[in-house]
Amino acid sequence: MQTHVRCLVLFSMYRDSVWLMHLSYTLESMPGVQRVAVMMGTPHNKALLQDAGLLTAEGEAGGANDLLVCVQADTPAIAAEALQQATARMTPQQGAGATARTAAPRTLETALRRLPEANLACISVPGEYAVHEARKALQHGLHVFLFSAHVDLAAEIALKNLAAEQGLLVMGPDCGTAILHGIPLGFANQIPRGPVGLIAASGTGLQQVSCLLAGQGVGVSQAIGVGGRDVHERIGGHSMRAALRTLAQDADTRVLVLIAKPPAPRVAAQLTREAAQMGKPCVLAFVGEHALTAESAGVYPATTLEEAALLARALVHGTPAWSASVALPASLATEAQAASTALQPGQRLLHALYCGGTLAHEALGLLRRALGRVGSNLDDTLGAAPQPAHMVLDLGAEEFTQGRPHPMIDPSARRPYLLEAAANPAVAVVLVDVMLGWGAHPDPAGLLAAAWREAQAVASAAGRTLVGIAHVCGALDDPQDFAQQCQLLREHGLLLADSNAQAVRLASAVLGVHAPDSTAQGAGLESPAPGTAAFPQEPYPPVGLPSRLPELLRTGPRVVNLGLELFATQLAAHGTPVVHVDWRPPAGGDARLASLLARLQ
Amino acid sequence: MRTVEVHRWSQAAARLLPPQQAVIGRVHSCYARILNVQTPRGRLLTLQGEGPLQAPLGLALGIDMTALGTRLPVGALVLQEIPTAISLPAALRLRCADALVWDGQITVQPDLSPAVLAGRGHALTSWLCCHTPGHGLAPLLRALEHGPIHLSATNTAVYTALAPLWTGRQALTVPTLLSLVSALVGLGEGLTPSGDDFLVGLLAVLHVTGFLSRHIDALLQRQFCQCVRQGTSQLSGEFLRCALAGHFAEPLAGLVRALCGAGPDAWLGHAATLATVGHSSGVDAMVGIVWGCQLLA
Repeated sequence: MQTHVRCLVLFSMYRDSVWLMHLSYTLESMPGVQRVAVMMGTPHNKALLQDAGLLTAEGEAGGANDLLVCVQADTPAIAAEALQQATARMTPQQGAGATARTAAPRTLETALRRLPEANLACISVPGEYAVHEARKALQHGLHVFLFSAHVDLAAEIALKNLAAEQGLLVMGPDCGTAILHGIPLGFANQIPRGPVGLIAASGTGLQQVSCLLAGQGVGVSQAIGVGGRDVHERIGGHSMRAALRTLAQDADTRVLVLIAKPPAPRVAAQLTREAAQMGKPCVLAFVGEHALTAESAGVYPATTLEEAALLARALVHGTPAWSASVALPASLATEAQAASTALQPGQRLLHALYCGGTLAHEALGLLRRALGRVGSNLDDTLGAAPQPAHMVLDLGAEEFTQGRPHPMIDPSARRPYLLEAAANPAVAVVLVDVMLGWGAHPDPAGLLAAAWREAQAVASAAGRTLVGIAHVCGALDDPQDFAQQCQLLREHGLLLADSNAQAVRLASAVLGVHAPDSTAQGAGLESPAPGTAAFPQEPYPPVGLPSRLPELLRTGPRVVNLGLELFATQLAAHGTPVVHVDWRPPAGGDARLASLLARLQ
Repeated sequence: MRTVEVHRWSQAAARLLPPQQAVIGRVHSCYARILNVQTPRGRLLTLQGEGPLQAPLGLALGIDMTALGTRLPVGALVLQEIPTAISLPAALRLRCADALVWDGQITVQPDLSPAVLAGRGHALTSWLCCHTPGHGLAPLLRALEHGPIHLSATNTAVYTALAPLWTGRQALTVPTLLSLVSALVGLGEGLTPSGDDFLVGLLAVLHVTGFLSRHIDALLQRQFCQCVRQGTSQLSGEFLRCALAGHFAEPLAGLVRALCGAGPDAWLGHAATLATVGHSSGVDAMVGIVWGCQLLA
């Protein structure tokens, strides 16, 4: 008799024992199913399943808090069908609460009848439909948090102009993160409220600064994401400038921080000028931008996200001169030295494997200053770099995420690159980020630890050891349990850095290279460096204050959610009024027909 | 957002939630009328409806849990209903001030003689063989006497782990106890794997007989907790950590207290109640109790 085994891992899935047994009996009774095991994926259980011939490579990925469903059947199709049954039986109870589960509305309009007081649409439908939904939301008087990517530039400009006419704000497209009135949207961390207002054209940049601030005991008044392309030459920082004007008038915000990968020069100039006119101290964290200096009092350029957080904290506390040291702490320097002594003579390369795009970008800039040539997919220099070379990979880039979730949701995408690094005799250091917060994987450190064990085994078999350096980007109150995630990585021998920039310094130290100090040296808060950079570009037309934005920030979001249900889940988790739309593409997904229908309407 | 009254809670749970602490935690998991809430320090509280507390860190609420569970997604914030928490966003607020405290701690019973222990262990064995012969780890009770014939994979693994102590090749000491924990933790079917349930039952006996009060120290606690953290789920691990500290769910504490009490048959009702817990959790814990009684007697 032929047998085919398939395993399903249901991550962080808890069901009571009676239910699990019932599932097991149900699957076993399916024709063609020979054996079924439904067990928590503890090490002992995986060993039992292995002995029984019921564990596959997929099942190996499960941990003690995950449920394994293993099926042995006559044919692969029957095994797959059984697992499909299991998934179907599991998922109904795992939804986003009653608001999202029971007879969800199908359209924005119906949702608005259920929640007439809504003031924000959270849109994460495919890019080709997102513009249509965003336009409708704006026409109904809703601000828009536009998570969707692949929106063309002209459409983005049109949406932002429409928003401006309506006194509304469009956050995005491709906006991953925001925290409004303490409520996290998208991939945000659980940050306490406080006096710093963040405006970011960078999701992981916002996460890094907000987490570093929270770690220093400084909270955030509002964190407004605007999407990476907002600082494009043609968009002109439209949403960022509108948000800047709003937070400048927000009584709860005392210090402003603008975060972006380097904006177009004309946009950078505009933002710098306007920031100086807001009457509140403003930190400009344009990651990797080393040429920018303050044009006038009240503007404080930072070259790293870490520096931005330190500056913001100092400004909040009114520290007369910023004297915070960013040198590697002695304990980490000692660890770096100890780690480097275990390396073989040929081990001299670094592989950085990132989930967070801005963190990868920041690391690339810092590493190039420290190590010289570094190849990366961020600027298509992987092929150009001589082999073997240092390498920075942004695993969240489009070429790595086609057909699979973003590595913040599924960090297992990093495993093959870890194993590749382990098999490479020239690699000494692997640098990684671990992204926590809402929307992120429930146990990213667990997955990393498991992959790290495998990688070390590969290296060890070849008589080498690898040095692993990680930065956990998270806050104490994140759903994943920050302390536990850090502890797990330490137990697996990874060195932990407090920030991404510190992780780079640590990696450089292990390689015996001194990372140049990335901070604005000597820039005291009382006398910021005088403006030296010339900004000859023509100014953009003024952006008005979005008249309805202060109400959103003051009373908090009331949301219609279209797209990813997990966003509705996290909003419901905060007691935020939310209606989830069971969205389907209009005209059955026929874009041309949908466009015709829209015109008819 | 809604506010719910806590009617009753275990002393161990009450200790974790001082009256002035605003944040209770976040919803960790939710199933059949149970809602687990993870505190900021990583402990798991179990919220349930009225009735005996099903977990050592249990809180009984005056509400239909099925309805509550469907409204609260994983990650939902749960706060105490106190003045300092009013401005914080939350999906659920618990009013704990008037909750009755139930003491679920099992302590040493100095009057418990080895003969009584052996007798009660023997009686409970007979009860299990009669009422739940093929259930969970119950087949082990015969296997330990007659050999491991026709055992399931889980039972075989448990049998192998128990055999050195049962046959007298090893004595019960702290190192052998830790090896046993290491061999059984996270082993078997169920939300709380059978091996974990067995260990909870065994630990209860080790408390009443004074074994743990004589041997427990920081090293044992650390090694035990490490074993548990690496070997089983957070939820089951919480039951084990509590058991090491002497705190148990109400059905199990009721049985152990009755077994050690004066009346020879007072335990029967408690055994019947415990047998209905989970699919086989209650039975597995009773097998642990039986094994502990017979080993220590």
